Amino acid sequence: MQHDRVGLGWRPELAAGIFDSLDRIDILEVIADNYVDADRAQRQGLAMIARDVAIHLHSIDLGLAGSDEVATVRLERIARLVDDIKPEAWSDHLAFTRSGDIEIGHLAAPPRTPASVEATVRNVRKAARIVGSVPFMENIATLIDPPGSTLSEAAWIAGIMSASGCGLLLDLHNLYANATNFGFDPLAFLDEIPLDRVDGIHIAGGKWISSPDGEKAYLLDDHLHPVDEAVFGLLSEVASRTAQALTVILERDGAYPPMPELLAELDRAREAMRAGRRRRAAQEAAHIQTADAG
Amino acid sequence: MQADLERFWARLLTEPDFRARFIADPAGFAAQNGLSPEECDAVVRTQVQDLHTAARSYAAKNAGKRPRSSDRWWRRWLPFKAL
Repeated sequence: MQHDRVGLGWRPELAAGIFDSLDRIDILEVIADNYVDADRAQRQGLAMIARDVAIHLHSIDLGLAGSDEVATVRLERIARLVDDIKPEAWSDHLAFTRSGDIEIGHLAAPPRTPASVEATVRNVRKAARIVGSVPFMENIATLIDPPGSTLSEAAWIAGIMSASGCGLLLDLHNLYANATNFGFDPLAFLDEIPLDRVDGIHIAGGKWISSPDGEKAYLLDDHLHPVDEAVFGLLSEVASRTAQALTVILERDGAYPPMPELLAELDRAREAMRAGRRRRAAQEAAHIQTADAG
Repeated sequence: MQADLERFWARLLTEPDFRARFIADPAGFAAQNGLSPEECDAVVRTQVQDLHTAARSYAAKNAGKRPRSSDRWWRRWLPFKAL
């Protein structure tokens, strides 16, 4: 088995700290949308980094989980970037970002129905055809349950993965936030999704916000705060339930702490995974002993 | 139809006037916008509190968006590293 890896989302503000700490960062995740319009020199710079450290490209704006057919021109731009940078993998979200001429401007959860499973699968297949590799698809956080949903989030994700053949980029803070806001058990969610198809994991932090009338609290996934201990707990749980190597990316989008604090969070993620792996090994050993005794 | 519902949903999340008209008369406004009876039933069950919170979050994210261009940092860094 390959080793579990832990890395960081590439942000220009963190560049100096990242380059000083490459011995403690296994992988970088680069936001594709920031580079699709980049000039040749900028792409070469990124390709140069990719020679020193593994890179994943993470796309935000494709809206692959929408009913609209994803625009070929958007995928061709990602394909050119993938050709230039040669990342290990690329990913996008289980979200829609536009509908017809309406641009939402960010990730939105579509109504979870068999029709949206079908539309997402169609778009993932088109993306794979044009870009040349199947994207990993990430579960998103939402503050509102989309109307008309007939499937649970877990069933919807499992349906898309099964029909499209894509892997899952499991965002554990998104899962934690949704579980908190909508009152479901994140461990039951993990029971329902095909964990053997998880390759990448996102961890991040968030904060509590109130509704405008101040009467209801929500956990917002804002990537501006330290990772909650509950998220490390979920990471340990996933590590204990999976056999394949996992790649964990810490996402931080602002309010940057000193680099040692981010590196400490990466170390905490490694520790959480090791704890999960140890638990798995102990369970397997106990299972073998039971089988031998039988 | 899924596409109609997504479009309606996208407008609710991003257009304050559209949202206000929906909140004033959820069922009537949904029907007026071409949603099927089943879709109207679904959107009527939307929690207004959640809708306001989500819409505020989208507005904040869009207001805080950096222009989609490459990082200027590279322009400073690249010539130095390339030498």
